[in-house]
Amino acid sequence: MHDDLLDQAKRLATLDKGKPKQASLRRAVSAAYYALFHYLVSQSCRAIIGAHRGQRGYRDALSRAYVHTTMSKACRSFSSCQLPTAVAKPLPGASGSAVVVSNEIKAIAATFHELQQKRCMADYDLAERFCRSEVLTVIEQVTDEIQKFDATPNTDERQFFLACLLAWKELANR
Amino acid sequence: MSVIDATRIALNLDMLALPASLRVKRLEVQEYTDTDGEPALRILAVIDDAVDVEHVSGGDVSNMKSAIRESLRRGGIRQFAYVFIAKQSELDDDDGEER
Repeated sequence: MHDDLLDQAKRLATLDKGKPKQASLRRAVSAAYYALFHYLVSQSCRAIIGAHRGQRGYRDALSRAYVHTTMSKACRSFSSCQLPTAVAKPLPGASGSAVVVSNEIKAIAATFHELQQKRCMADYDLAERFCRSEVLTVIEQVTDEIQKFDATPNTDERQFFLACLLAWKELANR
Repeated sequence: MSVIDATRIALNLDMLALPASLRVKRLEVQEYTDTDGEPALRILAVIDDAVDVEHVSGGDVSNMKSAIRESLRRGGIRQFAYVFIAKQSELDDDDGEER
């Protein structure tokens, strides 16, 4: 799904010759965001349920539970290597609220948080103007970070990040 | 020192190691409140008009944004930085005409 959404985003961003239509660029931003959203939800469900083909129904059922703003807040924390102290405390290498986060997780987390904001602008803020350079570079960035995240080893840190995308609201408020 | 002043120091182009492919000409900074109501920064990276954005690698885009955020963190700035990219010609062309 995420590959098709990224293809769609690129087609929309390059659809108009000359000055692009805002509608095309806004839909492209939204498609790029949803590519990353569905990718991260899929990875998170695989981390929690398992990746076997026979488990797909369970993953699809669980995937309905993910909340955009909850994921975005979790990503903001991971991108800055700062988790609430109570969350960070038992983690290896934590010092206060500061935690060690790999570059791949930091990057994809920052991109998700940033793109969630841009998706809101694209869908609802008519005062915001998008330009083709912004949209094309975002699409390439999402494509690259998905490839890099796919290549990361299945570490405890990766599993924890992916689980936090679902459980962040409850964890962060304890 | 205000956040904006500290940000401008942290984002001195001469001190930042940004990917050469993007040819960043200047960085503009604004204080911003995001849709969660959190204080944040909005940073516009103005790139050279000659950059072929269809062939800029996503890794370079990611590295540029990471370098900006890392420099802000080192400068003690905790607000999240939302980074936008535009060419000067696109900014000049933004005449508000609805299309």
